[in-house]
Amino acid sequence: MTQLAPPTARAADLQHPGLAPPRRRAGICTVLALVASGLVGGCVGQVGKTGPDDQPPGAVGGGGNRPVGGAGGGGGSAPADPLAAGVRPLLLLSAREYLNTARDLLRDTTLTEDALPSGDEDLQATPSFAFKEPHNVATQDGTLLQGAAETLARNAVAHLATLLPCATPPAAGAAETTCLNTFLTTFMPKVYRRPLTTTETAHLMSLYATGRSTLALGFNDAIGLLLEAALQSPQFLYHWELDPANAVPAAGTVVKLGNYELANRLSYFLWGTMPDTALFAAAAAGQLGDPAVVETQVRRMLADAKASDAYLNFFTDFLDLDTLADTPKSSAVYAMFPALAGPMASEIKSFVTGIMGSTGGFADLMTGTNSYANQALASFYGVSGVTGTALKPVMLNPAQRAGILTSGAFLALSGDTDESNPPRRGKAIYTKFLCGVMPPPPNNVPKPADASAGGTMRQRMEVHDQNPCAGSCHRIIEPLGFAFEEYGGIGEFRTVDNNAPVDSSGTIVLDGQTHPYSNAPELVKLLAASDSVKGCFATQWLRYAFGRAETPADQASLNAATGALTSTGDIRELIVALTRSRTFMYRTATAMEGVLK
Amino acid sequence: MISIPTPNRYSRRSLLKGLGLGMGVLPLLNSERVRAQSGGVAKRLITMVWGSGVVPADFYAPAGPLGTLPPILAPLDPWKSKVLQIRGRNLGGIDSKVMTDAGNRYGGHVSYPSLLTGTATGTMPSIDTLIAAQLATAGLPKAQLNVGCRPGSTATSWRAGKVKNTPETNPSRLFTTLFAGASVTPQQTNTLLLRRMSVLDHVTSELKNFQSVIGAEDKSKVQAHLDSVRQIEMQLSAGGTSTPGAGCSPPPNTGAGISVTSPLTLPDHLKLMLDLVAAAVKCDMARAVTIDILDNGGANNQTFPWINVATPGFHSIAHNGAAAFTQKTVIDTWFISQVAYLAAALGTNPEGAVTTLDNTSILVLNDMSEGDFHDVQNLPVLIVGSGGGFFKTGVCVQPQANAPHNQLLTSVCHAMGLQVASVGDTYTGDLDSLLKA
Repeated sequence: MTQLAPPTARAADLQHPGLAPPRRRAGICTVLALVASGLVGGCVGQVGKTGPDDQPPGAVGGGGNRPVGGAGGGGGSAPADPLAAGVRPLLLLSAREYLNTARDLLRDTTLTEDALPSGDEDLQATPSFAFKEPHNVATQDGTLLQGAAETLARNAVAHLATLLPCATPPAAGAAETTCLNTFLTTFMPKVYRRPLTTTETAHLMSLYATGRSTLALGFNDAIGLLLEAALQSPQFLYHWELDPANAVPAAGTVVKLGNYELANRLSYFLWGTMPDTALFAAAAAGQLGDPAVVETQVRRMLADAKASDAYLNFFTDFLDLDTLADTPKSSAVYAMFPALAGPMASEIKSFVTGIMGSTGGFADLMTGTNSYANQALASFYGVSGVTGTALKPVMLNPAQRAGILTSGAFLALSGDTDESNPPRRGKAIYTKFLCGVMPPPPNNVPKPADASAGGTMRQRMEVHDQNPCAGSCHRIIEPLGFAFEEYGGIGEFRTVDNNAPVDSSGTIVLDGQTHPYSNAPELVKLLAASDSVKGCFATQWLRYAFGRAETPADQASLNAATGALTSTGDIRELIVALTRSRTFMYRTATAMEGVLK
Repeated sequence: MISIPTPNRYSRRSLLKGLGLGMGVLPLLNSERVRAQSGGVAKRLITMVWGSGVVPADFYAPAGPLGTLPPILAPLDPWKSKVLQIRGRNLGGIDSKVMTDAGNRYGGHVSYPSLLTGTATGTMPSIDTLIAAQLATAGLPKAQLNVGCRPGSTATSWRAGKVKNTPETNPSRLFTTLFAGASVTPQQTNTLLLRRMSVLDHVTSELKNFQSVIGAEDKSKVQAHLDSVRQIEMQLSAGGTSTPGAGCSPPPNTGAGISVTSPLTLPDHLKLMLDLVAAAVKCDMARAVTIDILDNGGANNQTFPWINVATPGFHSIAHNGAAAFTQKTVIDTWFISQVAYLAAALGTNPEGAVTTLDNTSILVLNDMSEGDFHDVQNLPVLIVGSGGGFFKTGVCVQPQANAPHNQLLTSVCHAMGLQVASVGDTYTGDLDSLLKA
């Protein structure tokens, strides 16, 4: 039986004191042992996303991070400030958002992600941040953005009449001026996702004049020129739809987002694309300063089919589903895996879509057994009666399975090539569901014994963890992983490991209470009921929404979102509460901001 | 227009053949002017970096002239006379401990993004950025090329201000960027160039306006964007002034659809990227190139079934110490064979009396010495190609104990004609007296 404490200690506590160069094993182990003896272990909770490797955008400079534990999760220092709001890092449209926007703006679906900057950077390398964010424009990316804009503009000119509500090309003279003005006042605000300033309009009219005179373009091609330029402009490419009416905010002050800023934040969060007509109309009418109106819009948007795009994006990123097919497995032990990887990922997508389209239930997500399988996957789960390659609804054995953490996808992703991997599974749960942070491994990590040494995986790992070097982290994460010892390397159910019966029992300390469990289905039910886990889940949605880690300024908003999940059990209510929270509707201004001309 | 006769003029015909385009299409290349300024030699730096260390006993040759190469270096035997090894272990070696992180809490893995900057992650620019910036000033706008093999991995190339130069990992997209993106027909030249210049003028103006209104920390991101656009503008304004010559031939564009995340595709993927890099270098479209082969925190998931190391993962093997030296040496040797592949691509391409490899330095680095310990002392370093006669070759040299890695980076800049007193922070000075021919 093993015990687990929740992540509570301060980030600063886990920093190893200045170590000598890593040459002598004994020296390193001693220091680690000291750290471990003073704390629960080297692995403790902290506000995520800052690490020794990569200072992320959005980390609050100078303020220092402190734990954000979610409801009941701790923190324990200053009370949450209800008027605080986090900073807003500058983010480029991701490739997915760019393509979705081209679809909705221009009805153009000809481009693929390969035509755009590689964009997504997996910040998992940074402790505990699960989501991918676009990187800055790299040296070679200008050419790609240029090529994509030229393609979209060329395609748009070919069907300009469907985009512009005037006869194209118009007759020269007054009709041309009118049509150009129509384009600039009705279409271009959709490209910029907000009204243009007079300076911006003047710049575009100047470019139009260049197109018509110097470049000798006709009307349609000159409109294409404007589109080509606008699609390469920061107004289109960045999530920064500044309200031109804004005054210059002083650094550190909390400012309310303008109507268009909020409309775009909502739309890219909930749909992964630009606002639709109704949302633009609400922004134009100045209605989005009212949380009640925001809530009405959010409920409308969550009911729209486009919301499933965001749900799937969240869970794909959160669980790393897109790497499942590339997860290496021993062909000798798991020859069936290549045929199962695709259905396993599809199962999660169907499972999540089904829940979010019905109950939105967090408990269903964590413990549900109504899932989907094709013939091969049903056989893997020991379910009979399913034939064919298409996924069909199935009822999984509740003694063996409960929710996403016992899915083939999660267990195969976190399993080893030919057997289970308790530390890796434990780490996945610890970082994703308890928002714990693991430091990089210490400088000398002896390997656990090979299976040839005899004993179950658990027995060999427990010997390994007597080593103070390895133990500081492994003693935290492995109890979580041991609960999943009834599943092999791709999540197949088993009762025997290396010729000995598996032991999947343990205890866990959650929200100050010690709970025993005998196996994974029991553990995940404890996790599903835990306020700490719900707080962490809300934190993950905040990270996803903002593309940054949580900060102390988000605490009150995070508490509200967690409270909504705790009181309703509905993930959609968490999302609604997050969108009407202070940190969603406001931001803290940073130094040297200016006002748009 | 200045016309400098050079020994490696581009073959317009071979370039067009490779592109599958008509004779009228001409990629916009510009290099003669810069070559004239560098004494007629186009010097190139290519870095090849991967992680998790080496098996030291199988990697280091004895100090002195290179005799029979150690097992891991065996693939470089045909190029032995052009190899410079910098020896670590026992008496001395290159030491990167100063730059791993502020408190030096962790060693290898954390050192990876510092290998070309000589400072904690991205606080200062990497040497490829420094070299490319100087070339841009001299009139060669797009000298920098950053490629990688695994998206989402750590990168070695940085701009100042902690802005990463994210490597291009998609071979098809890289082909487009290098060989197809900026091509125009002569008939189109005037109108298309003018059009693109008009658009980019507008975009630049909007970006500058935008940069002025956003917060201080984000301004550097927009500066990176501005620089990328500026490079295109400079290329356009120099458009059509160079003539392609011998040796410049793009590889076939066969990379579409290859998985860039599957461990099994690494050999094919890396070959595609190396072919593109070799072509870009031979065509003088890039002079400061970084290749991030494999990091991803030690590459837990990477296996090497094509050389019969199918299990366990790379990271586990690196941590198995002596028990896995046999497997590790097989893997390390495969990595070096990739260096040899690139060396061969450049070493068989004549440039005047010498080859492209002779005007190049391939700098091979790793983020630790022996993987089991995460040790960042005595880093394994190889240089293949003398960089136009700057480095001594055919030899293994032994630096003094704890020679700062920064001084190595400074010497590499000197080899490329960039006269700097230091690279990164904390350490000034160089290793010229040890490394120079």
